[in-house]
Amino acid sequence: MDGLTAAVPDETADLVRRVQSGDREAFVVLTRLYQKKVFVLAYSFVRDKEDALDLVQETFLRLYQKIGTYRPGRPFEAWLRRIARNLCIDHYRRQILRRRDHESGKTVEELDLPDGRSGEGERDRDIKDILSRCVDRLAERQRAIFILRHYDQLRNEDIAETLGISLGTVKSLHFKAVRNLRALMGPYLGWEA
Amino acid sequence: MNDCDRIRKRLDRLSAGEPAGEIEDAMKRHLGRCPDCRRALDETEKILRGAGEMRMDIAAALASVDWEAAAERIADAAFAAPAARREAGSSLRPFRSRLFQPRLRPVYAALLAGVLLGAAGMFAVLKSRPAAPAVARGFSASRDSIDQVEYQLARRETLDYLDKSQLLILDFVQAPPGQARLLQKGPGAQPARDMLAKKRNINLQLGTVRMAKAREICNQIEVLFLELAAVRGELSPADAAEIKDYIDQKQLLLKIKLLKRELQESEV
Repeated sequence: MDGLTAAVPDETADLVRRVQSGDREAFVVLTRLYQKKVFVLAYSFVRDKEDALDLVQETFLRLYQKIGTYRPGRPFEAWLRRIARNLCIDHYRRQILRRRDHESGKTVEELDLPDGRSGEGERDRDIKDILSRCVDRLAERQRAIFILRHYDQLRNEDIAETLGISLGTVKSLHFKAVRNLRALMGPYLGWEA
Repeated sequence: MNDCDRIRKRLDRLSAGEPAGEIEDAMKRHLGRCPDCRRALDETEKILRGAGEMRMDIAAALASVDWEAAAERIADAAFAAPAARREAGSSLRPFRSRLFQPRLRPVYAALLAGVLLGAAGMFAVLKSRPAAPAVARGFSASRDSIDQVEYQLARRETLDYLDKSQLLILDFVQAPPGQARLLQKGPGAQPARDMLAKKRNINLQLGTVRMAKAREICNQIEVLFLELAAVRGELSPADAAEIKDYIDQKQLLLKIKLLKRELQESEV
């Protein structure tokens, strides 16, 4: 398993039970199974390898602290993803505060403010940043399909099999994801509504 | 099929994650004179290109990490932390017991009494001093008070957005199929479009750290309205079930209720 495709639920449930009883080896296996998925999520948020690796570590440490509160039967991956996402948001907020502190000592001329004259190249560079934030705002299934299709490069047929839905539903949800991304990204990139 | 339809079909194929093929000459000519089609195609291609670049960044970053070692390192940190805490706790214990030994109690009592007397004296001195006359020349306000005013404005706008969203979502969830106000016939799903416009207006005010929680919830509501605004004609039972599922899954009504209460309680 490459760490990006889904783990067998029974295998995960067994590992979680063993981690709850303090089994270190089970924790290592569970981390190996899910660390790349958490990395993809963190990287798409922070766009920096070292920061993303720190977030992966923080996520699994938090998971270990909270593993006692995990109720068997709940979808493990969604639970893990929620922990990772909250940590990514905290990291993002800290970054904003740091940037604000840093900029508060500068004059207006020194600040890198958008002046409405930025060209196409400038906007294209922003697209990846804005795309990552907007992908995170999509509905759960649309986001999952967009990430599996584009970041994990799975074919529509494989996505359908992985998620247990029909090929038509995959296409329709992908279509909705792109349409919603256009609407969500539009205001940031000056696209007309 | 006219040229606009052909372009839309290509757009649908791109958006459904399928290869869309080469653009024929006739279509190129149409793109040259139809700004709507050109914009739609351009935006979709930019999104997909951005996703492709992101994939390459992620793949490069993934390949440069030793994942086996990373998992071991994380496990070491996880399993070492409780032991370190226990150790730190035990090394502090003798210090604590020395600090709080019974024979030092009179010393702490005297220190506390001194602090209280000092505070009372300071209070008496400050209270007896006449208030400085207010000199108001022109308008001036501290950064704190401006922040407070901005926060109050953001709070009111957000409360209004949440009130309207709550009414529309409740109506959508409870109304019989096809009769929800959100899906009224006429100029598309107008209430949903109005809410999207309203959200765009409050985006700037939601940008502060203090409003971060409200921003998260308002973004989730916005996704719902985006879905509803895109509905053409009758909403199919499957789509309606999916939207209701989203409302349940995100616990939107509960979140709106709690956030409203929180914002109302923070009124000055």
